[in-house]
Amino acid sequence: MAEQRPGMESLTDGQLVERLRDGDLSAFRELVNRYKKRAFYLAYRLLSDREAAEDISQEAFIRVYKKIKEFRGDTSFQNWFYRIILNLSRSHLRHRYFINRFVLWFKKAEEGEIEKSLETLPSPPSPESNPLQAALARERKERIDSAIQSLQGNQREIFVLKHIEGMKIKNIAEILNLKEGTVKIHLFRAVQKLQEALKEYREVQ
Amino acid sequence: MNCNRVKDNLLTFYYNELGEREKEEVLQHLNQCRACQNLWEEMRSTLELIPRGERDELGDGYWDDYTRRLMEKLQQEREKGKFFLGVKPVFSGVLILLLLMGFYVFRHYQQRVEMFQHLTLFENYEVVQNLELLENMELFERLDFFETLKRDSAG
Repeated sequence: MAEQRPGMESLTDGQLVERLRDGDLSAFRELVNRYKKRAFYLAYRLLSDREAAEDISQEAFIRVYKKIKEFRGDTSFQNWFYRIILNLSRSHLRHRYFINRFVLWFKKAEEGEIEKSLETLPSPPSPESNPLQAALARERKERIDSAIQSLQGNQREIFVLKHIEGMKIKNIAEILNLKEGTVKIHLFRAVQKLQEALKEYREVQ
Repeated sequence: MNCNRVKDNLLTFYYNELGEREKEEVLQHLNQCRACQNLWEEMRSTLELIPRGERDELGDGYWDDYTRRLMEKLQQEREKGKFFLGVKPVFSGVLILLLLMGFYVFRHYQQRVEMFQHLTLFENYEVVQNLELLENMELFERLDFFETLKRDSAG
């Protein structure tokens, strides 16, 4: 594998894309270093599954490598890349939905049990020293994750991109091919649902 | 700014995406309106429960492995691509050959079917002819019988 050339860090995404178009693998490595964490966590927020998040984010990088010549540059590389991750995540969710349905039909099990068994990454150990506090913090984190997970497709994507990724509404609209007004409406509805789901924690605060 | 407009702009206000003038207007309104203030507090306290950005809990070791695994996958993809690039002309040739063979076999089968149909027709024709012949023979025999009878009665 080609070693990374010195000075790659100082190049812009656009310059790296140009180099990658010419087949420069070290430019690809630099893009991976820049975006791997964001790609992984975006996929993880959308899928709530660590293995799937790794697969999807890596698949997105491979798509970038294969399709870089099709990238016209009418949007930023980041927006284009995020769009790839969103599309791959959506198709993964669709696929998982059908698998769930099949398993459900096959085993005739209760829906709740299946969903419970499919998801959630075990929470990392909490830094809290008091076991009770640690358990409460873990429970709160799980509730927040499941509240985000319970949002409908577009609402979840928009909330994750806005609140967690910190993207501008204009960029989100571009990635999802929606009007800015529509993005704001989805975001507002998502926050309303989260307000309802996290009511008890808000009151405790 | 009235309550409805403030409500529409609360989220963009929270995420600091409003222009200076609009931001001032929202602030002014919030200072005066108790209902909007409550709405703002509810929204703000919910959003502050959810961490912004990601706290990386996976460590450098994981990310090194991640990159290594990704580069391995990429290598596999590239080799697969090369393989298919090399195999493509051979594959196309075999496919064309198979299609030609299929066409030949089909034509041959079709000819055989046609031939068989003709043969059956011919065989049927022969049977019909033979039947006619038999009928004629019977007729002749009967005629012959009547002739003999006639001759006997005359004699």
